[in-house]
Amino acid sequence: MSKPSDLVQGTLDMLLLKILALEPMNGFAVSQRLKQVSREVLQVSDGSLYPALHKLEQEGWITAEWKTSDFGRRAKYYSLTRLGRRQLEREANNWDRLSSAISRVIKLKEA
Amino acid sequence: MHAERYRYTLPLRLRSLFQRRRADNDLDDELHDHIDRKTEEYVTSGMGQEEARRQALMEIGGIERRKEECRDTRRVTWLQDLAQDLRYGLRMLRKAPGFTTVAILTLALGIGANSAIFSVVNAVLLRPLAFRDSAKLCFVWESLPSFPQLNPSYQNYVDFRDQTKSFEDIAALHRQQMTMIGHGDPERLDAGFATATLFPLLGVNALEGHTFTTDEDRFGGPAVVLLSYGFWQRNFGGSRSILGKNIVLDDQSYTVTGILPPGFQIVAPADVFVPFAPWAHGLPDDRNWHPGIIAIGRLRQGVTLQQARAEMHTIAARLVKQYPMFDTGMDAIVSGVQDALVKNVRPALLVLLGAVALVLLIACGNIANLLLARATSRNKEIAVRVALGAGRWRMVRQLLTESVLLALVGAAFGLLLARLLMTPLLDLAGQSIPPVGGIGLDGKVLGFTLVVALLVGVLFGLAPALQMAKVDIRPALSDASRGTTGGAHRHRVRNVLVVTEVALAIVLLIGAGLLMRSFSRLQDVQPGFEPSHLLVADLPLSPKVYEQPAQRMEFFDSLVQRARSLPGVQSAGGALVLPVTGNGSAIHFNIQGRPPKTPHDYILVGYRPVTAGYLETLHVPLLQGRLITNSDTEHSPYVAVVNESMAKEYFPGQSALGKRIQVGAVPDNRIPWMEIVGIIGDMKQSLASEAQSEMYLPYRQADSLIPIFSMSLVMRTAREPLTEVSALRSAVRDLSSNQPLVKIRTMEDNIATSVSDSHFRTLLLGIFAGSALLLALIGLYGLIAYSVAQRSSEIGVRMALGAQPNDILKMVVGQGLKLVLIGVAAGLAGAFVLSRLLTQFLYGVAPSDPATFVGVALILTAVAAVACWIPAQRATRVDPIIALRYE
Repeated sequence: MSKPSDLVQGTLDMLLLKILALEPMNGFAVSQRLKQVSREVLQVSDGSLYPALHKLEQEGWITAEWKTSDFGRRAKYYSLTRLGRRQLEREANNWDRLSSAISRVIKLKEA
Repeated sequence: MHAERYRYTLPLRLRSLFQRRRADNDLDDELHDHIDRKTEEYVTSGMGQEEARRQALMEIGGIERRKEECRDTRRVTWLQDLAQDLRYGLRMLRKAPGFTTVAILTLALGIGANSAIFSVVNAVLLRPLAFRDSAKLCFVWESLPSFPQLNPSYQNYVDFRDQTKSFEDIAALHRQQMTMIGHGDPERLDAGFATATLFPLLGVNALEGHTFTTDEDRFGGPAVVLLSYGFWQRNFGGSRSILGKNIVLDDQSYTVTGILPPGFQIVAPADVFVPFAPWAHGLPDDRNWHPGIIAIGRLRQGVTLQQARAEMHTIAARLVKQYPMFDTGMDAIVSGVQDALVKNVRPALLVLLGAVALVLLIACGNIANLLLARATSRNKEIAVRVALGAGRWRMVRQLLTESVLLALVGAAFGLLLARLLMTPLLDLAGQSIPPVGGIGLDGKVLGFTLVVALLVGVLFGLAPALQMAKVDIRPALSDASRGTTGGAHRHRVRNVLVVTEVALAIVLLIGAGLLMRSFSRLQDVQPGFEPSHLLVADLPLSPKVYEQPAQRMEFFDSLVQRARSLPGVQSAGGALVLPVTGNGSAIHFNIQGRPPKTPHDYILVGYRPVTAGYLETLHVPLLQGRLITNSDTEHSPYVAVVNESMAKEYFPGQSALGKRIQVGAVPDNRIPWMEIVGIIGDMKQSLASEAQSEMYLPYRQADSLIPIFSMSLVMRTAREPLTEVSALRSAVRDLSSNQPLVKIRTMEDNIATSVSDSHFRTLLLGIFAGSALLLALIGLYGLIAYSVAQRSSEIGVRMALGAQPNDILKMVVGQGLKLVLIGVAAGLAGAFVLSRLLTQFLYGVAPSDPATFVGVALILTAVAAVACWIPAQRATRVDPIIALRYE
């Protein structure tokens, strides 16, 4: 199985929620955006993207609907729900606390 | 928060469950859409179409695998697994129709019996009474030194009612029969005399019309009557036009002012209700007179039962001080209405529920044993599934699903059976169960059955499932395993099951044995007279028509005369109260020359007015003096005949003959003295208790002391008593066409009714114990037969080596009996502890009655030996050659 790195797995949910918070989009666009915004650092494989999206959908954090895209094709568009927005806030706060704690620890070592 | 979550997730779950294919198609589309776009992207960046597509597929890493991962997020897999397990379970059960049928039948019987008993327990013990806030309703009783609990006298009731602060109010009810005429044959009705406060206190409104008003519930008020729903339907076809019309009860016309709602009853069913006050007005002004007033109070908000008790004790103590001549030693008792109504039946029902649960446990043991036996044949199937990657827990779950499924199907049939059993069960119970109504399969019973089924399914399925899931794959998959799988452990489990079954069966058999011995003791009790060939009927007179003593005495005389002259009747007589009915009034009396010094010296005996010929008809032995004759009338000197107990109790060491006694606690010149002219043998009022002291008075003389308005007629017949019924009916009709003749029965029926509670318990527990014995024997037989089959090659070897059939027989039977004896020992110990629960139901038998214990142990061991001997016989016929060839 092509797993993303451990750090990413723990926060993949948050990243996906964040991306979908900007605008509703389909899976393909999410994968593009993910690469783009992380400047290709986060190599989330296409393989792990879809199970992650489905998991968020089953949690009720994102919801999906089928739309006809600009290419004239049926595509599944995901958008954030109110629950998803709350979840994103929670995870972002956690992340802030964690990352600032870690950076303090790192600085401590350098000193 | 939750609601919002379900708004999104519930449609998804439903879709995953019920539109699985569409969900899968969407998933397929979504992934392919991704690959198409990716391919286009690569093509745009200059890659060849083929190459681009391959790259896209590679990056997603296998479409099917991703699909599976996405499906795994759906959260409904457990449900889908369950559905799969159920389908698989059904298939397995269908594949073994013999096993399935036996198991389902056993379970249906076990669970059905449990549901039936539980529905009685539910209706009688668990369901609150159908009154507003019924937990607050209480009975208020009196207690006297000579009677631990009795209905309050009218005067005390009024004082209780007026002085209490714990109760919102205390209402009163008196139950009595009334005769309705003018509506077909004269009919005896159960009537309730109720205060106007009773219905509001209970929270019961009239279905039509209105309940009593305070203006109706007073002496001199309008004569009004309320009809019960059943009576209204039965007699007036549920027509509303009866409201405002009149019906005639005890020769007085009453206006129907209301219909009570269906199912309404308090204490016991009644046909009609009339106001209480007019009846109470006719009562003597005597605090010692207890005419049967049922006092029902409603606790004030926030007042506990304890507080109400304390207050009523205080009020009673005050009344004792105020009326020392009447209320000596009086106290008040307060008890919850529901508790009081079920007090007598609760222990019996709980014992029966326990017993029927034990039967179900034994049935579970049998099914577990069957499943374990089947485990051997399913070894390979399980091994294959484990080898293919099914987890152990997954296997246990699968096997448990099968057993729970079995239990549920069994329970469904069980409910059907319970429905069928209900009517005969209630018929059998008769008066043994309070008439609460609504006994049937309601939601609670269904819930109970479901829970029992689930528990039972897990109970009998768990051990076999754990055993089976432990299968060792390699030997199971190779054919060499035959005959050696299972091993010692599995045998041990089966042995433990059979030992337990035997032990439980012993407990039930001893319980049933004790009740049966007790019941037969009860039936052997001599009632003190000759009960065969006696026909009995009750004749209540209307106090309105027979207001004059001479009228009613003449009616009674001519009635006895006519009965005596019927061709099939040898002799006849009448009494106010028959023996062995459990009731009958007692009366204070005093002995000439021995007046009581204090109220504590008051003496009390059974009061039995009888006509001439009555004692002769019963064949009661005359010990001294003479019996009552036709010449003992209100104009001749007053006489009494006493029984042996009374003579011994009050005239020890001397002859009671010639002594003079008087009714009333203290000597009173206005009351005639009665000379004791005869002493007869004791008759029992209740088979289970000692005979009480009784005095027998001539009817005519007794009527002049306390007016008598009814008679139980007793006739000794030459042939079967019931053949004389129609002759008796026409004789009574000739005498008076408006005279109801009720409860025509034989004296033997009368006695049987008096022990019907005991009969009900004994029969039911007997049936349960019999089923337990049968199930345990089947279990034992199955175990031995199975073990013989398993060991056939070993037996073959033994025989080839020279063992005689007798040796084999001994070995096999010995193996079974060892288990049986362990089970018997455990069962005896258990019964020794548990039989104490039966103490209150036993008469003349100790709960640890050695004869019952030894007898049951011997009988069970003997039949168990037979159950072992049959398969053992088969073992001796094993052909060593064939048995060995199989290896």
